[in-house]
Amino acid sequence: MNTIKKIIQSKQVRNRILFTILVLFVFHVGSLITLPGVSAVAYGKQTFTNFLNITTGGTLQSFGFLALGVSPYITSSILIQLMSKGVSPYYTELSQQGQLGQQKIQQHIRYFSILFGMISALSIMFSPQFTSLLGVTIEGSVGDKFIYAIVLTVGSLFTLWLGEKIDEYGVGQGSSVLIAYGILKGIPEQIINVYNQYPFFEVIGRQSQYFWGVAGLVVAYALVIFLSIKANKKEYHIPIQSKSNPTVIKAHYYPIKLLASSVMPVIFATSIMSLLGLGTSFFTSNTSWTEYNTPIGFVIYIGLIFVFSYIYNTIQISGEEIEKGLNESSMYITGISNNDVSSFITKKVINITHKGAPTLALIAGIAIGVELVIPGDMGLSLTGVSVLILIGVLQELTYQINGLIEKNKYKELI
Amino acid sequence: MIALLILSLLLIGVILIQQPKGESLATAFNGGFIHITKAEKQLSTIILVLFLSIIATIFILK
Repeated sequence: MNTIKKIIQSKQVRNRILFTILVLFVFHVGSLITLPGVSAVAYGKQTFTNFLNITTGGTLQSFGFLALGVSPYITSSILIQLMSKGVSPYYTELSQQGQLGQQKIQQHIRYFSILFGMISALSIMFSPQFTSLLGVTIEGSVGDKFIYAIVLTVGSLFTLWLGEKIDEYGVGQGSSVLIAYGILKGIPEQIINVYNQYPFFEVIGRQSQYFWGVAGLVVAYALVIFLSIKANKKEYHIPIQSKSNPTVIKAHYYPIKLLASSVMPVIFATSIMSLLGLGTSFFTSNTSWTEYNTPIGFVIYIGLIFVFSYIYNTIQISGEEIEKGLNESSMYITGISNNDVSSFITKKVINITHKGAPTLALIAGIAIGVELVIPGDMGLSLTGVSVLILIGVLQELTYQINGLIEKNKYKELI
Repeated sequence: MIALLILSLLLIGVILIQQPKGESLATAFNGGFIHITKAEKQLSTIILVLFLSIIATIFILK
């Protein structure tokens, strides 16, 4: 209550929140307006379609003008991020050039977004497998479909622009806020889905199984929420000291989060599963092993989360970069020679991943696991990943709003 | 359909002309210190007008 009062009192915070709501409204309207000749029939519930719907910001399901959402932006951001971590010397150099370099990187992300957006849109327009997976029907000549593909690409670029506006004048990280909004608006539909399953269980005379199933899901999601909050906050501190002042100051440390790459390993794992599913669907109708809600698919999915956690964390936290940074700022890690920093950090990251990877796999897997043991289909597509993303964004928003309120307090004092 | 294509291409062009701010999170935390030029405001207005025009064209085509 106190925070709400402070938000209302602070004009700047209030305006930023109102601006974010306005952008979300535009995003919502844009995602509802379908293209002429395109009609959404029944959205698929495969790994692939669920994943796409999350990364687009929930827009793909309604298949409107902004159907591709932030998905092409995420793909291009991941690509450029990986390239700027030593894979491409050009992007590595750009990433070290401060604001100007970041601006160039952002512009290149936009170019790649157009490219990935166009590839996705053309695939949707011209692949019958794709349209059947998404549950849409598209009518029109080849020329019309080509124009629709351009319009969908423009829609994704416009969504990216909306995200940038939230970054600049709103609260939270734009694309994350749009994704979180997509997840949030899907929750009532998920609840209705579960409710609508009751008649099926009633017909087969298994009402008690239904109630146990619902109870299991409630407990599973409560556990996922609890774990997500704890895991998002948990970080390990590596104490560092100044060479000129060897006194140990508690505030000087290098932090490494338990989930060092957040949900990225799950996103990679889901992308690989989705692509395998899509690729296999062209040759055979048996793609169950690429679905994370089948026993084999589930095991593969969890295995991939582990593999990508180790790969992405060691790429994300570069021991060499930290070593360079410490040398430049005349700091050192307590008890470690500056020449050994790189290997020390790598070992530390691997040790933290020994705990982080199972935590992430548990968060991503709990709800799916419970659904696997419940007989019948509860029709859920809200996964542990969605919950983790949602909680991460909400925590970030809270930190930022509190930060802005505190900042305004100091301004008033001045 | 041609109008839809032209409006879409125009929107791509205008969005690409408007330079991204770069360190987005840093600017978001920068409070009231975001400098908006007149040209940027005009470009944002054009982008919104084009977006609305595309939506109107889609409705007409339906």
